Amino acid sequence: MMNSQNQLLGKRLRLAGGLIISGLVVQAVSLFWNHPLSFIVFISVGTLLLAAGIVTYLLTIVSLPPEDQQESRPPIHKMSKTP
Amino acid sequence: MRELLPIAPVLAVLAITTVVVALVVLRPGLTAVRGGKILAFFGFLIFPVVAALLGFESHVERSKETSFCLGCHIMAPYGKSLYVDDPSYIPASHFQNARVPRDQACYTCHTDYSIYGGFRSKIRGLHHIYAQYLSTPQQPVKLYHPYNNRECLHCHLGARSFEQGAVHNADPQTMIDIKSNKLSCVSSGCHENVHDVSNAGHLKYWRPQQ
Repeated sequence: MMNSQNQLLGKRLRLAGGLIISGLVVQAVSLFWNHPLSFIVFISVGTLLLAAGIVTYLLTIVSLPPEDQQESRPPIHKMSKTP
Repeated sequence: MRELLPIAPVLAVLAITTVVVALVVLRPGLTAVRGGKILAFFGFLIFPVVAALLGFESHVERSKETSFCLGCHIMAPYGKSLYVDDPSYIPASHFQNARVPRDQACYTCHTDYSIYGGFRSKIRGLHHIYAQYLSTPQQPVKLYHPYNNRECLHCHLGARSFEQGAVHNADPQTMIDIKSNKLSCVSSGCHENVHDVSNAGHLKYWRPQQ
């Protein structure tokens, strides 16, 4: 159960990361192109990919189960006092 | 190399963001600890937003450049008109005598010197892009509104040549009308030689020495 959740988390993070890196690459390339269309590419492609990546990341972290349910801590036993 | 300097901070933030995001993507186990979660939060949210804002700012600054305006083919004759070898041509004399920054010549005279003027200029720029690539640009290119004296007075107001000019002070009403934009600087028969691209073929051009 935990393993599948981790896999899903990893998959979504990879998707978000891929979108963000693609957006950043498009934005960086547009900065080297001194043309009116470069601004349009920056906004319509770069920012859109970036926004999609950020939204994916935010959806990923809000869909995670609470931390206390996630961690499978061993039960804490009170040490019994030895007589 | 000098061209890279203004965008160097943007590229640096872009590179840092890419490294952080790649690190978290390649090692998702990092997010299991608090430090990793914070790193991911910065890499996936804070850094990309900062990078996008810096990139946007860089694009906005570059959109003021003369080369940006002349990037569209339709503007080429207007760029050429800046080299007309005749001091009565207002844009040419301003450009050639460095009365306006040469690398921002179009923006300096064609922005609105009013509150939100810069923003309105950007909206007009977007409309220009729409007209150029998605619609049919009007030929010849025309201003959306008559040229406002405010743009001239932004620099000339208070200048001795303007305030004490003989024609400007021919009668007291003239100066009042100029300053209130009732008497246009460029279309009242005074400084009417502006770009005049229709006569471009008949004009002599200045060749700056390299």
